[in-house]
Amino acid sequence: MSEPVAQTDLPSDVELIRAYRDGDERSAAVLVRRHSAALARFLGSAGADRSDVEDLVQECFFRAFLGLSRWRGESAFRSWLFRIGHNLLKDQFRRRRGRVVIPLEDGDLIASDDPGARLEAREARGRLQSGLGLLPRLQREVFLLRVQQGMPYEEIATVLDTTPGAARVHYHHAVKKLKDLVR
Amino acid sequence: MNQCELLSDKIPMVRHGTVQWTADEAAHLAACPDCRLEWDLVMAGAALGDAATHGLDPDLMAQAVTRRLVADRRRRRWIRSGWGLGLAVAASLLLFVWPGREPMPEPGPVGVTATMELPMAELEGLEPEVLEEILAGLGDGESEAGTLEAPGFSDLAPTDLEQLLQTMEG
Repeated sequence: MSEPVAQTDLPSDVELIRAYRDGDERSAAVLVRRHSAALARFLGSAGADRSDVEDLVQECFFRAFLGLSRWRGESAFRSWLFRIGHNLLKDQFRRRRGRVVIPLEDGDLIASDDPGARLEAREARGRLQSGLGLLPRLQREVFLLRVQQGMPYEEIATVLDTTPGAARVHYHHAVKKLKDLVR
Repeated sequence: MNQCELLSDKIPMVRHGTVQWTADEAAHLAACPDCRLEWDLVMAGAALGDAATHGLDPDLMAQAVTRRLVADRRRRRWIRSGWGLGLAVAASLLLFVWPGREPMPEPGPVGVTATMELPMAELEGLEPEVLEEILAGLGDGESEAGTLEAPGFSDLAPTDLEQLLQTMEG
């Protein structure tokens, strides 16, 4: 019986991209499987219509692979992908004239056996989601990239085309406003 | 930077397991309600959007993306080959229809060309009436020239012929 593949044995994004460029379509599929859930979570919580999330994810990957000639590899493939997602969100935001709806769904709730705790968590989550909808777009996206993806400010700056210092300021503004809203 | 600000920057990183709390930081987090609120906020924020991933099947997504990529690659190849074929057909048609280079015009007599290109400054300075007179004169001359025939030996009188022969013989 073969040994389970260790995490470190998995090909890196850069290796997969190289293989894709050499004509290996399966490498693209591996990259999609690796990053699609994180991208969907970001798009879904940043204000994309829930019904559009799958299409947006697919569009992000499609554009990312088509534009690989412009990707120099200075930033992570994930940053490149999220940057495209950010631009697609921006377009959707413009089409809706700035209106952001971040729906609360049961799937977003923490599973808990205690009904009181579940209700409290649901209320807190509801306030957080309402609060996210009230934040300026950049603050919301910086907050989500930091707390959901654990991105350092440098990477956030690459995704959102800003500076690490500005990203840090956006994050702290967002946190302060959200704390005031959920308090 | 105070302890709360330090923790604020670190909370998401600890949540993702990229860094860990020091003992001092852990003690501060336990005692500071504001930092605890922020911790809860980050935890809740990290779980947001989970519902967006519920309907998402990464395998199906991978298939859909690769299908689009393959289709796009084929389309581009077809367009490229279509362009190539189109250009080849256009070039063949051009070669078939084009008569070739226009023949160079035969060079005219150098003297005539030179004469035609000579500026006629003296004519340009003349009044229209004078030019009309010149033209009329030219016309007369032409008509005279056109009607005059070159004299032949038969037109000469015998005495004139005798004189001509003497001149030629010396």
